[in-house]
Amino acid sequence: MKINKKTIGDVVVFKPEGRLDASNASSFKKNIADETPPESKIVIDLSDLEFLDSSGIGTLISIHRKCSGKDGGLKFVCLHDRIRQILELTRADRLFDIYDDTETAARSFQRKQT
Amino acid sequence: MKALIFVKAKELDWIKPIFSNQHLLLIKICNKPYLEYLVDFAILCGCREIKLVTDAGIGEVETLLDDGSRWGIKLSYAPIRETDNLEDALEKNSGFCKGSPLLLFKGFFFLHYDKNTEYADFIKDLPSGEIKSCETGSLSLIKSPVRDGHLPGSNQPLLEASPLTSATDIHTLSLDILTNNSNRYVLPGYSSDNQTFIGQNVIITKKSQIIPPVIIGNQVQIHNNAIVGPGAIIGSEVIIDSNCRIVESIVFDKTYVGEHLELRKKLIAGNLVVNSEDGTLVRLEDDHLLSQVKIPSFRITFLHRIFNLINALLAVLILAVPYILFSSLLKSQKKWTTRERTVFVNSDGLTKDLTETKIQTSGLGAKLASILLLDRYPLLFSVLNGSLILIGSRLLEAEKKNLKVLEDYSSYRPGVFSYAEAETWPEENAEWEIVERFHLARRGLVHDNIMLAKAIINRAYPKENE
Repeated sequence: MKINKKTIGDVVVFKPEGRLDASNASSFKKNIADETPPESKIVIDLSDLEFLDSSGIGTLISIHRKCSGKDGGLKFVCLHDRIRQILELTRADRLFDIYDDTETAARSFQRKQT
Repeated sequence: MKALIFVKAKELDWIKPIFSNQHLLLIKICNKPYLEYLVDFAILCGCREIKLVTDAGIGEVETLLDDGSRWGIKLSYAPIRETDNLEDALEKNSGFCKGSPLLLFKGFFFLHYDKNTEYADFIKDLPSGEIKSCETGSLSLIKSPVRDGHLPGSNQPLLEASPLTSATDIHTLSLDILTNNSNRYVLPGYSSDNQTFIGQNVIITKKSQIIPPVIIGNQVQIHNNAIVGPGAIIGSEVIIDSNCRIVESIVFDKTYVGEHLELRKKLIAGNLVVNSEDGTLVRLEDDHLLSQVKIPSFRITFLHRIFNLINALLAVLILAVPYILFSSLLKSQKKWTTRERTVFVNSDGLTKDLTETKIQTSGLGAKLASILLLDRYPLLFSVLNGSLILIGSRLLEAEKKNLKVLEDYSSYRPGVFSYAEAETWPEENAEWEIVERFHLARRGLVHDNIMLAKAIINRAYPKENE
């Protein structure tokens, strides 16, 4: 799986491509953990994610738990219909903040601080 | 122009006791799903992109309305969290909202309009701000940057908002549309006189009577000597048995109305009767009077049942001797403890008493008993009598808080093993529900066999949870 990374201020934006499933869920989690300390501000752009299974959802929840805190957090952006439907079906969408725009998602951390 | 429909689930709480089997935003007003009225109006206003933003669940709505192509528009959906307010919703959907004026429907309310009126020019010239509102919602226009418009003069087209807060509101509104204003809205069914609307595959026997105004959905049977109308709204997949009389009443989808029943000013949904005058609810327990029409999914249930029965029976036979030997041995070593549990066995809240066994896995005998799954042995008998399946949801204790979980968990089907065990998700965490919902939606013979094997292997070779 290819993961693109960029930063907007102190927010790290990851953009995984392809599938997030049992075969690569742990390596994805490790990649994110290596790049970001706990309680980081993370945005994951899911627009190029083609498939997500229960292991993938578990990984996203685990990352969410790790970076949630006083200043940090995890936001998702650009869910296409298939991924949104999986999150909706499993009710995982209740846990996550989902934006349709990367810049707004990154900016929303500032709003939280103020 | 774009439209954004923002509804919070808590605004729909009052509907839940009445229409528990239906998505709250798809509640029918005069046989037409609530959301379709908003979509129709948004289209009349010139909107070509509409987004539904809600925490009330999107799946069923999406199944019905799809991507909007049947209206020639683009319909999209965005989930929000329970704690999000309008400001959060607009921020999270800022990509959608920017670029053109936005028509914002906020809350759960009914918008009275007229399909024969041109609204696009009227809306276009309005200034940014609230257009119409009532106690439970509002219609607003957001223009960015704010542009001046002019307030409408005396030629303002029909546009009123009215609150929806009770079954009585639904009843009054539906009958008002049917009786006085059917020409203002696009209503489902064939009609030649704006007084009688008939859906597809409707069987009306010769000896029955239809007295307008009346609207009848699809796949409806009206039996001999039944009198339907005036002022009757009959949903889809409804059976009206012989000698019934239905006047100024609404019969919602999938309802059977028994013989000789006379309904006046009532609202019927399954076996629930609501008096439209005072809103009192009565649930009838006699299936011959009123009941829910059940459409079985025979193929899946039958195959699953056979699969579960054969496997459970084999396991019961094979493990009988080891169970007797190990249970006696481990009991004497105080490594085998049991307790009685009352658990929910379906999403309707049906309960069953089960014996839960715990094995302390210290020592070779106890480890072997655990690998042989002997602690689950008593549960296999519940598979044989159909209360449990081999792999499914986690067993939920029959407690009030869990009953609340089941209200929103219609696919709940408890198993001897849970999908969370197969995936080694921590069961003590509320997140188990996520993995269960994922796998329950994918249930199938092959899928369940794989998950069962994973659950059994995980027992034999336990992994540390990450």
